[in-house]
Amino acid sequence: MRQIAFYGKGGIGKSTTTSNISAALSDLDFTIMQIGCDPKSDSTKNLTGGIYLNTILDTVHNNKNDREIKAEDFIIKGYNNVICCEAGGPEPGVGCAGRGVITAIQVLQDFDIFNRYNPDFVFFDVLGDVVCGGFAMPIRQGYAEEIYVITSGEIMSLFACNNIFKGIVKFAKTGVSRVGGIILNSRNTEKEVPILEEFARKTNTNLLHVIPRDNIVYKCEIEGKTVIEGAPDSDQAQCYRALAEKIIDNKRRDIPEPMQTPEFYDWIKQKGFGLVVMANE
Amino acid sequence: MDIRTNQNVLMKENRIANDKNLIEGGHSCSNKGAMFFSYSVKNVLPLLHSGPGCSLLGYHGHVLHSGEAYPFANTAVGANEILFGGTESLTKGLIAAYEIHKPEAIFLIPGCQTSTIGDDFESGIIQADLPIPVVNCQTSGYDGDLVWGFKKSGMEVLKFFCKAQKKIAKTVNIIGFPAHFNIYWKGDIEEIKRLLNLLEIKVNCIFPGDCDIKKISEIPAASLNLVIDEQFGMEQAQFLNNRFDMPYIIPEFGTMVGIDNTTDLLMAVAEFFNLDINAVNTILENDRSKYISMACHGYTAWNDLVQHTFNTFGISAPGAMAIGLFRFLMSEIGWEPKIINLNPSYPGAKARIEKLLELDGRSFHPQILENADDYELIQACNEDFPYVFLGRGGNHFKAESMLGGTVIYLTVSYPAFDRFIINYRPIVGYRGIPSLVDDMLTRATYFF
Repeated sequence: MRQIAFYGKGGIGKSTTTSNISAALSDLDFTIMQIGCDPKSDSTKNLTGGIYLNTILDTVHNNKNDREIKAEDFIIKGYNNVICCEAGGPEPGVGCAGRGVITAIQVLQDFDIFNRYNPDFVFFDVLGDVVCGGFAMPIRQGYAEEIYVITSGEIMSLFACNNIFKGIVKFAKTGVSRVGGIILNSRNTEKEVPILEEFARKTNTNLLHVIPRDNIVYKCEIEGKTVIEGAPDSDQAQCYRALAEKIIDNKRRDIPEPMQTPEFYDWIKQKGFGLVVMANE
Repeated sequence: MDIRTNQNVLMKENRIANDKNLIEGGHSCSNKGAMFFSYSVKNVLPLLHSGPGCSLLGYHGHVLHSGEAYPFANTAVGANEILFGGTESLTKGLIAAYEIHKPEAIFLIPGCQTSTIGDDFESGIIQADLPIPVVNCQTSGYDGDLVWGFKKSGMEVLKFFCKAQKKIAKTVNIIGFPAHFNIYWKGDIEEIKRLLNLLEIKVNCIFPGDCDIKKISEIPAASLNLVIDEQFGMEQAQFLNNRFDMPYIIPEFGTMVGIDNTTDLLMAVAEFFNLDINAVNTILENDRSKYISMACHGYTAWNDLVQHTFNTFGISAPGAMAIGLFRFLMSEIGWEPKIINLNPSYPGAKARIEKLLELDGRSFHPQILENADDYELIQACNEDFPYVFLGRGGNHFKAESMLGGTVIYLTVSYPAFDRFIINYRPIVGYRGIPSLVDDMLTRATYFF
């Protein structure tokens, strides 16, 4: 079983990418489990036809003690039997989402989920930046042996990526989490690929794959599908399959060397690149 | 006597010392300080919006030395509230607390957990829509220590209830009275009233300690605020001075403990009200001599018992009280100070001790510690231990066990796990002098 976490700036396409990787690997007859670690609870919706899952936290904490909870209460099988579950969390503006991730993972431990379903790949799709201890839980607890950071070439996305590396380094001495690579989910900013290549070199990581921007992704999402399911013959689907195969073969496990914040901004200034979305977008 | 009528002395907030290896009972958290405050206002219910354990600690820390139980309520937040927000639980808790206890007001005391997750306390209060005032004490546990929580909640209550009103002549408030922080507090209230009555000055409100919501709202009617304990009362007195133009008087050396501290403070009050100083001197002298005579009898017994050898002392108590006791034991009884631990300390406290040493002129060089934890205190005692130690209940057991039972230890400060005061004996004022000597003598009797 390989346990992999996907991190990245909010809205960068973590769930979309993760779901497509899950779908692509399931087509290769691997057993896949995808766990959404985001209070929005929408990580797996493209694998489940767009339906909203009963989340782990909803199930456990809203239970009135009138019946025994079963793992099946918060787990469903989606596209090609991909095992889907969502940690869940509070409504915006209340409660503690970070604590929610911790609690959800504790619940998964209690239910011995991984041994019970015995997946080949477990994917944790984690909310945005590593803003607090809760969102570092998959790293701290050793669930995320491989981490892939999804980013574009935009400044704040790179900044988030660098911050995530800081979180990984913090636990690298005592934990098993390492960086498998950076996945560029293109926003078509200027010099995006060379910038990412340089960023990867500077941070002792590698640029694993580049996903071009394609509206087919959004069209499929509207139907609650991955590109693998909704447009299997498209170039974009082929791109996700290629990414999935790279992940299968990827042996890199890097401890990143993130830049300090002033160093990061100095680098941005030195490069002088636009880092803006191109006009035709 | 230092009469300060404007905000020229600012006290910084006394936050929890984060560099400590150990935190002993003197610190705890601001949440408990708010509970101590709330217990000191009549007909008020403290409602903790926190985990259930918070209330237990504050409750035990309090009642053990008071020998009384006080009602309180707790929303007992759990995992659900932490994950999904506890505002709804707060609203339900407020309604239930009101229905059960029917208090005149509820003082809401938020806990660490609910503050960390950002519960909307004000919204919870509004939604409960109670027919009584609900004051948010704004004392999340981690915001500060016990003393900070006590002062902060007091400040919030003053802001909430006090309104400008016509002054009443020759009336004083006692502001920032330390109440449950002082195990002698009930006797102290009686003694303060007695002494001021000797000068025909009426006590309008003792805040907190002898007040209810109505009394608190009438605080601005007094002509003067008298701060008995600088550490607890200074900021509140400054606030009332700024908002309601109320002058205030504070003791130069911490508290009203001991002969000179008491006399100095009362004379300053007399001067403020333009009383006949000679007449006041006579009144105070007559009263003072009565109680000093008692104390002398007690001290003679002490000397008979301990053969004049036990004449060094240590103190570990909240800053202002420690200063008052220090002055009394060194300058009025004549003992040699070995250790003083101002815990919690406050700005200027150490300088007061140094000034007292300078005034005394006997070249004593005690170890002056600020916020020393138990470990540091025991280390200090091992270096140069005193024969008599006045401190907290928590230190008591360690002093006996680690110093081989060589110290006469008297618990004079919270938390007092080994005694409670039921006979209204004071530690302040002239009556406080024989009271303290009697306490020490009794303790020495057990020791031998």
